[in-house]
Amino acid sequence: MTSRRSPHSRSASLVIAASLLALGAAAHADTSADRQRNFAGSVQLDYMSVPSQARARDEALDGATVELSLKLAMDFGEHTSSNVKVCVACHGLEVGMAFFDLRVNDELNFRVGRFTPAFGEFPLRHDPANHRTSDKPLPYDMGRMLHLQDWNLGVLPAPWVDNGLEINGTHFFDEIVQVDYAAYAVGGPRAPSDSLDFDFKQSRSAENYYIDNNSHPVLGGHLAWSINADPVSFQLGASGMTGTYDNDNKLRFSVLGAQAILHIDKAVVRAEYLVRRTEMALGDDPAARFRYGPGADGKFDPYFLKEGFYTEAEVPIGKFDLVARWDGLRRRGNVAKMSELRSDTGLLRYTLGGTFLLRESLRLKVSGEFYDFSDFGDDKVIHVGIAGPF
Amino acid sequence: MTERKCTRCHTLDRIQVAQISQPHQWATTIDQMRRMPASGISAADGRTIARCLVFRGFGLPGLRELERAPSPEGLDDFPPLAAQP
Repeated sequence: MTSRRSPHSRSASLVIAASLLALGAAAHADTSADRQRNFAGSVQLDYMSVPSQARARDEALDGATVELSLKLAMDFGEHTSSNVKVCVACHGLEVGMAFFDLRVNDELNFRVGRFTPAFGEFPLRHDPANHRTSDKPLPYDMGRMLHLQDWNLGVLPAPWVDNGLEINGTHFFDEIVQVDYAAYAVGGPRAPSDSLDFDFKQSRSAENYYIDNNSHPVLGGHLAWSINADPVSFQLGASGMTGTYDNDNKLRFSVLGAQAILHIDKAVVRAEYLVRRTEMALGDDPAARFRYGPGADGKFDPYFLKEGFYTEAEVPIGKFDLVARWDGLRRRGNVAKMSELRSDTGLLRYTLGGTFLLRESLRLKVSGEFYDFSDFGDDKVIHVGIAGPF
Repeated sequence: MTERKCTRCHTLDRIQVAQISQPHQWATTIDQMRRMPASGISAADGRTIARCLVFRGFGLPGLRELERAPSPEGLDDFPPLAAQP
């Protein structure tokens, strides 16, 4: 028996085939490659304390955690380079990057392998040595938030690492205006067939590490526009990703994002908004599966909407970098029978923190957070960490 | 300029500890950074930043070596020192 391939899948295959041809041509141009290697890494040790609880492990990954990254970049010439990065963190050893960049020119670059597809602004700074707080903004949270399991993390945990192909590029107009774009096809999030949300553990499990669970890529893209008029610059951007996430290729999701960044000399104000609409499997007996009953029409809504935002300001003062952040999450839609969340639930978080340059590249990171939950008691968190690149 | 542009994505510490062994490696690295989304580093900015970091790491001999080596495609050629303002 043969299965018919969807037009969506056929188009993706054609794009991939055409891209591989272009990749070959770009790589062939680097005949007189002067090879250069560059090794870099970073480490962060963080201690997360929840003062109100002697043991907060049931709702947070409190205590000491270490994040280590090791990256090797290899240039094969003007048009070809490769990057391999491994991380050791909560998940154990992870391959965060393993890709080739084959560049035709500034406006056309092919990235193939395992990488973080372009989405929003924060993922560019996701390395703990590159951002000022120990944890990440809530829309991108990957396990440092309180009640992480109740919320199933943020909207799109960063760094989102996936296998596939990305076509990207940048163009300057008059050296002032810069436009960036990216379009990609990657394996996408994963989950079993009867799921209510992404199963992030599957994305990093050995079983599904190198394969697409449903044989269909998800498609996405990013577009950013920035004006660079020193000492002030401004950036606007939008991102999107859509596809299916379950093994049976039936449950759809879409993520959209918007970003606005303002730089004034060395100070910066950032704001991002992410929203994800995710289809849940209703199963044979939704009444037994969900906590809340059907709508006025007698039907169970199979979708939930998860929104996240953050806005933050960073001001460097000598050896200090001060950070103030306001971020939040909101989830609307039905929940699993055992969930403690309401059908419309929210979380706001207020963060004050800073870093202090101890010596050379080593920074002390301190931050205090206040969590304002709609469905759980409010709480406070203190982070103290040391981070630095090498 | 180096401080303002580079710290959009990473701290200056990253530059301090970068393992760059040849002046031309800075030009290549900055050419890659220039192409990052919303880097704000134009070709002219890239040349200025490369010269700044090469001078910081390798002094005047490094700048001379930078001029002699072929420039990354995106940065164009580095003008001779005498022609610099």
